[in-house]
Amino acid sequence: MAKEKIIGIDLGTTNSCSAVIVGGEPVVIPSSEGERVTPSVVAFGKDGSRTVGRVAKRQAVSNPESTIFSIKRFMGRRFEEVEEETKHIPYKVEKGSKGEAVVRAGGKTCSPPEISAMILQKIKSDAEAYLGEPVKKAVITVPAYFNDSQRQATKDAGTIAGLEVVRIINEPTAASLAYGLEKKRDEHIAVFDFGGGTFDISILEVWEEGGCKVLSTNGDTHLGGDDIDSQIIKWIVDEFKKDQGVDLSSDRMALQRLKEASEKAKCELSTTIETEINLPFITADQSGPKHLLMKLTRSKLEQMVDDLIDRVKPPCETALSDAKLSAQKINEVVLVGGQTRMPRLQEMAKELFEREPHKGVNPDEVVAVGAAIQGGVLAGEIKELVLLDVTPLSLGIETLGGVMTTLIPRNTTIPTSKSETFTTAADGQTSVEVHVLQGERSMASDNRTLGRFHLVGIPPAPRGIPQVEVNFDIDRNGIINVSAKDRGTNKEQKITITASSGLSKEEVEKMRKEAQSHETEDKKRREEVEVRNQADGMAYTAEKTIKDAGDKIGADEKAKIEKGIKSLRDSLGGTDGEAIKKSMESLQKDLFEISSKLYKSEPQEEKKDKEKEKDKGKTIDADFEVNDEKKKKKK
Amino acid sequence: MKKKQKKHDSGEVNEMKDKYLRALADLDNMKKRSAIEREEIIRFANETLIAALLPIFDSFDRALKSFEGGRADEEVIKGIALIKKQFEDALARAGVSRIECLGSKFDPHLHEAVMRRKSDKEEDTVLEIMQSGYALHGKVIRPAMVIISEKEEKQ
Repeated sequence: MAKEKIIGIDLGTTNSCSAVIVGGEPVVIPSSEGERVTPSVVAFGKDGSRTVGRVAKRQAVSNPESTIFSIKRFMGRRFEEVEEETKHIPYKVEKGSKGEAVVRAGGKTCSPPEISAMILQKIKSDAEAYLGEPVKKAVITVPAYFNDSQRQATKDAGTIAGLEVVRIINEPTAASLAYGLEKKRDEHIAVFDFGGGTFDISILEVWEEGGCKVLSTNGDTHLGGDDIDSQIIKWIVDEFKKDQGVDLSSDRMALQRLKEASEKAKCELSTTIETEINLPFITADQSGPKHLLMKLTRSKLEQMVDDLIDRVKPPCETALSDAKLSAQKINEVVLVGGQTRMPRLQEMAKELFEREPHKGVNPDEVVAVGAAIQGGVLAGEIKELVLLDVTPLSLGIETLGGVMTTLIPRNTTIPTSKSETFTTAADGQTSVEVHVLQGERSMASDNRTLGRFHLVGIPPAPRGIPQVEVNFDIDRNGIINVSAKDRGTNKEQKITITASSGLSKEEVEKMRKEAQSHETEDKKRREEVEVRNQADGMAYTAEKTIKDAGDKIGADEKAKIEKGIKSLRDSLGGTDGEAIKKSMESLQKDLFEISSKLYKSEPQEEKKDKEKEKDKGKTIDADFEVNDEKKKKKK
Repeated sequence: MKKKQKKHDSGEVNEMKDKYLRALADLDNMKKRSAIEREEIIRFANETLIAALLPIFDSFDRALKSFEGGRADEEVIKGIALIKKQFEDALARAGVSRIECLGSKFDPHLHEAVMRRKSDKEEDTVLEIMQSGYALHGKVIRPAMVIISEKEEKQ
């Protein structure tokens, strides 16, 4: 019954990523290998098998002539246009019948759209597995500089994969969509895309609601995060050679470990200013094993890659001048590509466009997320979205000891309802007060009172026996209905609160902040109250136990317990929490002694009595539980 | 579902019904998906931690290998081998198993080819494991890095 989903696909040169709108929010679709991106690699095995993605990448060494990567560079291109590119790749690119570039692999000829279709097919089936429904439509992104033939080739790839490509959109436009910038009419957006292997800069103009025009685009097709990794590896190799006299660059295994460690160090240095590269037993020579232990600081890294980073400047300046704009005219800067997490690159983008870049959406996924949003709009999923409201603050009632017991925590989506059962705090209590509160503090008095009412006519019973069901209901307009019902008599009382909207946004924020700043103190107070409640419960139980036991326990034991109860009650009168705990512990010990004596005397008793005693034992246990779990209501 | 809708229903009621059913369906699907995801999360919650521990485990192997040739005290070597064993047992209890592949045919689902070496063995046979691969409850968390054979005549 659900609407047909339109997925968004970022079909990249090295990696591809897809996302979809679920419940109004974009979600990145994980691959069947559990990754958030899929390498854009297709391999044709010698046995005629075909693998795509991570698995294809793993076998590249075994099968270099038939492992196709970077196919995006050949999409919709004529053979003459890409002759230079073919020199960098181990697989064969030939001239097709219409002069287009085609790939020769696995004993046959494939057009670039056919190869891309294989990647799209994997994405499609991963999406179907994730969503549990067939996926037939997609929005696919392309670089802003793609010409008509390249766009058509991308569309064809979709068709071959069994996807209806409802729209092809530009990657920078998708990135802006992910940040909701399409709504800002008459603004200029710079999209700074520093990927694994390429750098692109695009200047966009929002010229109508939801429409972006690419004013200019520029870049460097051979500059990316991989270059930064190589720089780090080179540094480590050089340092190690200087230090230990061993050249690691000829050791395949050591290089592999260096590669992983360099990438890890690079990522860490985006959030820390110093990291350690620790690779024990990296190699060995005649004198024994050698270990690699180096410190790398962020400033050292920045120094190493300074000239790489400087290479982004000219394309950005050209893009600005092509767009006939000055840096001051740029209203928004959007970062794309994992490498833009590097603080130095962010600074560079800020310097070049004199604007703080947008952050928040994962830069590896921002294009796919934007494509998914476009898909959601086209599917009518986003426009139709009903705005669901949430409760800005927690709602609850006051319970024994002046504690606020939350029934509906803040940020709960409304309409909603919740009920919980409470009981009485004293023997023979015939009425309870329901004090409805709003706020985040632990103690009732620190929160805002929304209303209060009494439920009367509860039949007199020992504490803990009556069951009062309190129900909170918030309707779609934010109107709160609170009712309390005695399960025994079915007597009910309720209150309707409409004033909850009386709080302004600032007030809500203030209350939240206040709660945060008082968190520790509130927690302590709450714990104190809990100890008191527990102590009170124990005194009650002890009284009940000696009363029920009657003459089964000796007078001196009885006196001991009574003394214990008195001292506990006395300490409850004071404010010393430790004293309460102490009296509680000693009373508990005495109580246990008596209980075990009661059990020991059992064999001589009649069986009927035994059952009875056992039941009593259980009652005591249960009572403790009640004290811990159910909060007793204040009279 | 659509067929069941009565003809005399006004358009608006139909629309509301449709939206309601959609919301229900969305919720139902969300529930199903989150149940599956939860199961997966519980099963593989340790994956990140275990993946981070594997390089340490590798280091034990490297340490032991470096002792070959009598470079260290016999008892020390034995001790380190025992620590490695402890580590291995703990990993095994957590559901981690080593991917055994020496001499078997290269399989990119389990192995990552690092280089090829000429050999008289059949093409694409795993000749050497440069770094062990591991699976958690049968799911590959790190493929084995291997050297595979290349037929002699195929220069």
